[in-house]
Amino acid sequence: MALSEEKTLFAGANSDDSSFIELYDYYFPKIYNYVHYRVADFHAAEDLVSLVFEKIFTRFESYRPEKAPLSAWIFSIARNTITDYYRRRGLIHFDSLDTSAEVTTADPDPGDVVCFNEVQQHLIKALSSLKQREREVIALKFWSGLSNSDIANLVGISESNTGVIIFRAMRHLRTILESQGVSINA
Amino acid sequence: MPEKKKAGIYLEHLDRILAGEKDVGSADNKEIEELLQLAKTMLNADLSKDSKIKERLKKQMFSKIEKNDELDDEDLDFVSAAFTGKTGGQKGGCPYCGSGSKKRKGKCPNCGI
Repeated sequence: MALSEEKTLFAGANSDDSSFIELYDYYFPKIYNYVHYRVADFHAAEDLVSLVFEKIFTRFESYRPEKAPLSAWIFSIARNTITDYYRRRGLIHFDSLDTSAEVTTADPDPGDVVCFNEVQQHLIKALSSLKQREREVIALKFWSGLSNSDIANLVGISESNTGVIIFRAMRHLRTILESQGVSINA
Repeated sequence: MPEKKKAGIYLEHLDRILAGEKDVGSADNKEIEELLQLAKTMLNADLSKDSKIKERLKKQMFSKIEKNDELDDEDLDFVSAAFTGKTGGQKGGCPYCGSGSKKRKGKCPNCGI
């Protein structure tokens, strides 16, 4: 979304309900994918999506457009919500996505992902094989609409490192998908 | 081709795909082309397409907005006070601060509400 459109939508969302719904419709697929890219547990991911929107809604008046793009504010809420989720579960201990986060999470339960089509199921399974840092950066790159520079700031890594992580993670994903029998031909 | 250069070309094309460009041209490298194809596959595999929580959550959010728009007890006290003169305001004045000044652009010139 262009900055001017974002400002219009933000101003509208502060004063009328239809603009807030418009904002919701615009961000729902982005947040939904972002969360499911990062959390393999389907039910937990669904709950987290709700929680993220609840936080966006209740904290909306505290957003200051002059400080950061709306997308950066929204995705920092989503990111912190997921970090809290992993901390609570004791799965991963990290203050930033440094090398200590070089671990993967469990595979999704096959019964939980039946609502997804075959390609989506393969993708979720492949994503769950990536390292947390790779999942984080890929999820932000594909769904936040943020630049590499904004992603780097949010995650706390350098911009050039962000680019390399994206490229290597995509290579890794392709390898995993091919091992699942999914062919990615250009 | 060195990895850094490959990554640079890939990201340049990827940004255009993410921006919604349909034809981003050839990257002249088989691996990069395959990774760009993977990116398109990921975008097409939008996991939210058939989400069951989207409308339910929207309704929840919307009902909360409506609730917030309703007058709370404090607001109702102010409204009541305006009619009984308890705030010391003049009849027809601002129910919040009691100012008798006429509203300008729908707002009280004294308290701004």
